Amino acid sequence: MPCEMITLQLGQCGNQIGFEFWKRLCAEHGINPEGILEDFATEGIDRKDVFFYQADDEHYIPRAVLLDLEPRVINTILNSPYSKLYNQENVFLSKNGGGAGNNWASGYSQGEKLNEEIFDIIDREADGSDSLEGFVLCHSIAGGTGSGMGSNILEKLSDRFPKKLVQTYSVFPNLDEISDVVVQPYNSLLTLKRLTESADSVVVLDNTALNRIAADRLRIQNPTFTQINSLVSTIMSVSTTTLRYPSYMNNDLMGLLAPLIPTPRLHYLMTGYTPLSTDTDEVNVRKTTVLDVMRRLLQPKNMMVSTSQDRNSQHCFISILNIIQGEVDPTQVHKSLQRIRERKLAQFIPWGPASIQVALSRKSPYIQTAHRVSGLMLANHTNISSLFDRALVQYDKLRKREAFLDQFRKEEMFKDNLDELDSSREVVQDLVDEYTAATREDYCTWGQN
Amino acid sequence: MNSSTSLDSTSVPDLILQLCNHFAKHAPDLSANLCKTAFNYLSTSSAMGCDVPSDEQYVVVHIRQLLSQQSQESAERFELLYSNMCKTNVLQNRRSVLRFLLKLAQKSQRELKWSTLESLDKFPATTRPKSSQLSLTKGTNSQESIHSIFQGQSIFKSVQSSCTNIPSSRTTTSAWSSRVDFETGPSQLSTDLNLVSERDLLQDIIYSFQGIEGRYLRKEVGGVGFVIDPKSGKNFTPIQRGLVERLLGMSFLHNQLKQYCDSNDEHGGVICLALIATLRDELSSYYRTIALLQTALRKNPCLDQPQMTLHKALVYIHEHRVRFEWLAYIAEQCNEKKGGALITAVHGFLQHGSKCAQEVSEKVLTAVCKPLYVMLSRWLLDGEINDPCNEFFVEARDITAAERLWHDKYHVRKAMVPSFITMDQAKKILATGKSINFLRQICKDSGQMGERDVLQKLSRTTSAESLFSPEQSLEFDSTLDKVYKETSLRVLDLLKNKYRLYEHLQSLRRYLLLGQGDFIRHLLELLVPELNKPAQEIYGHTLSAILESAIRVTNAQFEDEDTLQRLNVSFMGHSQGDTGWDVFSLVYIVDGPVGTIFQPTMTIYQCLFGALWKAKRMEFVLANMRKQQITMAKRFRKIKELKPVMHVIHILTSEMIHFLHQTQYYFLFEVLECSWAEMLRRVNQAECLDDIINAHNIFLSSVQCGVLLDESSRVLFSQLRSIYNFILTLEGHQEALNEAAEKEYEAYMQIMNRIDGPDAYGLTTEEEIVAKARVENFHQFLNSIRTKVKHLAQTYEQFVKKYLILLSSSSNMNLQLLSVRLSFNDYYKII
Repeated sequence: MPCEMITLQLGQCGNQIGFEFWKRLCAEHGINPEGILEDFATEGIDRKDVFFYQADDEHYIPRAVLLDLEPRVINTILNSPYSKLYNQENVFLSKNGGGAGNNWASGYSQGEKLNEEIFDIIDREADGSDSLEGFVLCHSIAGGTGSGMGSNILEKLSDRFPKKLVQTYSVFPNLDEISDVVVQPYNSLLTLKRLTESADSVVVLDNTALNRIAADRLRIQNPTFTQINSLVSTIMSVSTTTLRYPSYMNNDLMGLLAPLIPTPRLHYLMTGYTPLSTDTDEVNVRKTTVLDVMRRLLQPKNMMVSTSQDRNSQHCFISILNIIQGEVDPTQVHKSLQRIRERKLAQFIPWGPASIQVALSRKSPYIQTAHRVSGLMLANHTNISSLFDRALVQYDKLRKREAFLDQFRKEEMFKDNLDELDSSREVVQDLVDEYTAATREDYCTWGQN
Repeated sequence: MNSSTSLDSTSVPDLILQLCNHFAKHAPDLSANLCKTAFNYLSTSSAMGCDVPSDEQYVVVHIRQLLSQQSQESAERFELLYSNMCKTNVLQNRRSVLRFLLKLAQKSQRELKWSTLESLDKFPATTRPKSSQLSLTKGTNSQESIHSIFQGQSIFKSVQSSCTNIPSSRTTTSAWSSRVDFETGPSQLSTDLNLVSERDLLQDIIYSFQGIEGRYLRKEVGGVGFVIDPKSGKNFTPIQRGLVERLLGMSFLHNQLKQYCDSNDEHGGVICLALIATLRDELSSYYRTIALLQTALRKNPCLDQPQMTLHKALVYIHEHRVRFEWLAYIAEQCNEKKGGALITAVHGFLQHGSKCAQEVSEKVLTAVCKPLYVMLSRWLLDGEINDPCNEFFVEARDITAAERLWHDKYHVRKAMVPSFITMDQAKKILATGKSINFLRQICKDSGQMGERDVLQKLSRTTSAESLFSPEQSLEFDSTLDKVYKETSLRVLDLLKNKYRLYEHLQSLRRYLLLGQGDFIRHLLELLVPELNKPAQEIYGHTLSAILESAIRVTNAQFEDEDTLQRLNVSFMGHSQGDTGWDVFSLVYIVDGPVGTIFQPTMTIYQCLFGALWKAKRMEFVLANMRKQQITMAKRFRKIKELKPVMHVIHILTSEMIHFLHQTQYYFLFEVLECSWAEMLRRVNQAECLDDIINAHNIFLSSVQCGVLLDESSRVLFSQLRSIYNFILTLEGHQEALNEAAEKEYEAYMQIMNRIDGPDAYGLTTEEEIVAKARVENFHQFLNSIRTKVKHLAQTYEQFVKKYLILLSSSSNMNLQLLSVRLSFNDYYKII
């Protein structure tokens, strides 16, 4: 089966959201926790082979590689009902089990050391697929393993598989609460450099926004990881739905990303999902139309990225892809688009044609939802740079004081100097500049001298 | 009552007894009863006799009245028998016999069972063969018989002319000559020889009524009527002349009808023959009247019977005359017409205000509809047409191709649709028979049609009149409707269930209209190297093998075997310079009954596939370019000079991707999916195969129109093709750039290794010069590519703008909206 994707989940956060993601995929494809196809799953319109492969005994096995430097989360997974789902050979735990101590540098260097072992697994997975399209990497950018080891793996992936796409679901830290990880700004910045240079598409999962949404939209005080992760798994599964339920368009990752990412570096994607509901929220069911969905998707409060709203800024959408699921009449889509255009609900770039792409996608027949229509927005918005700006500001604050750098200096990369931090800052600054440039009409001639 | 006296051979009571026994078929009870009735009757007859006048003509009129109340047929039969009776001299006391019979009839009407009366009817019939020399039989022989009457009359005429003044001898045994005796008498009554005798004139009139020239009346030269012979007619009194002229109208009508019958006899077709038969029927009843007239003329005026006069003749023929007028008019209208057209012509008279016209036309219409009704029943029941003269309004053509049976074999001859059948009904009738044929011949379905019984019953219980009579035609219409629906449903049922109509529609959508995205994408990917070759270097088996492998690894593998076997590759005829892309096509083979729907549209599917495939290929090309750009950006990060050039390419690529994705979305979702949903709705509601064919055709043409393949979008489509070509040009540029960058990168890396590597020893001056030249060369190349791409971007934008202007000025609302979509953020500022 062509266009397979291999999922790599790294660190505590990566494994947690990865676990939720696989739970969700299993439910959607009618695969039970042990990898066996349920009796009712006979529709056959879905492509399970993008994310799963079949073992000799017809069991479905995720193309997933689970990596961590400490055993806690992975052990939880292996003690869950889904333990038999995964290929045990794909679960990699560092032998010392000490973790990365929330230190990017530690994670990175451990990743470097474990490189061969890890890539043995990845190579084996890659060889096992007919025509691999790319990798999906789940991690957080703030911690140690997901960011540090993740960065290392990102670099290696683009070296080893230069023609494969690398998409990441990267969790950005919650800025509303004081993190116990003091070196978070360093970790984030260093990871951002790799995400910018080695990844091909980054789906930003902003914990700040996710927590706000959970609190404001779903009215959950102190949302748990599981609740947040179920939001994340929804986004992950819906954003891959056109790959898994083939229809006329967007049936491969490249086809999905090509209209979203105009130039290789502007590849950070925001997401939005509507209607949102959790198990406790079943009462609050509204009649949803395509226009409702598309309009709500454009509202900042539904965005899963907390961007500072700067009224005077010229920030605008570079591209939008709305994946609409449910009973949709294509003519309604057209009317909605007209309405959005008339009311100027979305501001677009001035340097090229842009509009709201719509992908009408099928839904899993095995999952009942209360809503007739639901939609996921994948958007490339210049305002994402405010996130990087924030990262830069926080970094600069720490860096000015030369705070907490001892742990970094212990590692090989920073033994002699902190050039890597500087170069990362430069890359991120460049990125911010490019996003800013993309708000202007002269972006066409950007960098031409 | 002197009737009994003449029959003295045996005693009357014995005879009555015998008669009663005969009628009762020797059942003693009935016979006794009959005898009692008979004797009763005879004993009271003298009393009854009082109210029956003795005049024979009067009795005859009474009998006629009585019989015509009962049935037209028996009245006609009486006329026949009576004329026979008049001709013979076996019954000497005709008047009394008639009176007896009349009384019997009157009596029996009151007391006896009808069956008895019917058997009484046989009474004169048994005497007929003995007495009658000219046996008259009904039906087709009547003309012949009438003919023999003519002969008889002409004999009589010659006798009369040769011996006008000589009383003929009584020895002649001929019945005719015996009459001459009676008739010569009155002729002598004409005192003035110069004046034409009424009798002679009447005789001439009677001749002319039958189309024969007489002494005074000659055939009109060049016409059908008669005129008064100018020479012998000069002696007519003005009254005579007037009367004769009035009477001659009848001769004209007779001749006209006769002419129509004779001239259309052979090549008229069954419906025309039915008309002729009716006319002949009318003619023979007319001849009977003539015969009566003739008899009356010959009768001895002395026997208390009034003299036959021209006035009386007018009265005699009056009824026929009115009928003939309408018949002649109808015949005239039907001239040169046949089949349904003829029926329509006749039907027109049914609405006529004249009661007589209505009666006449109804009779004719009933007759002419009979053959139509037979044809119709056969068609509706068995789908068979037996119509050698092309009179039926459904025509079968000589079509052998199974797929064309439904479309071409049968059709409605508009001219032959009778006016009482609406076009809507005609179409239903056509569709019903067609469906039966379709089921039998194409679906090989021999199952019994539902509602067939109803139809059979209907055709048994009703007659041809049900076609046009307003009350019955309602029933006919509703039955027709029922049968039509039932038959159509049967066809639909077979197509949908046995012949998997929906599955075929789905397969066509999935494979020819690219609905199975993963399969199409993979097929495209596998085909790229093959289709880039010139058309003549491509082999079918290679493509088939590729198709096979694309099926194997995508979701197409779950499709059922039958569908996959129908899927194949084909390439159209190529001309010089074509690549595989120009000739490749997927085909889906549909045969059997569903072929009727799909076969004729296969070329449209090919066109649609071509257009969609082209767009798909562009999408694929652009996605691959984007992928290469990503790889290049990573791999050649160190070559800073590459960046500005790549940026220009990135921007143009995004522009193209945006254009293409919007176009694709429009094609696939707004055009295809919307039309598809509409078609499914129609197909689900379809009442007959035609509805499905129609829905499918509407679907195809709306898709055709949507993907700019229709006639009015020609300019748009060629504009679109140019835009596609720009995409391919850009791909070429990027490919060249990638190659050059790769070379440069390798050379650069080599030099960097030499400078920085572990065994670095720097560059020699010579090498430095070479390197410098190389870099310069590369820069030059970059510049040229940049200029090319910039130029391309400009032209591309021009073309897109023009395309958008064309779209927005299109009369098709959807295309206008597409133009808005393509410039959603008003990037292309078109007015």
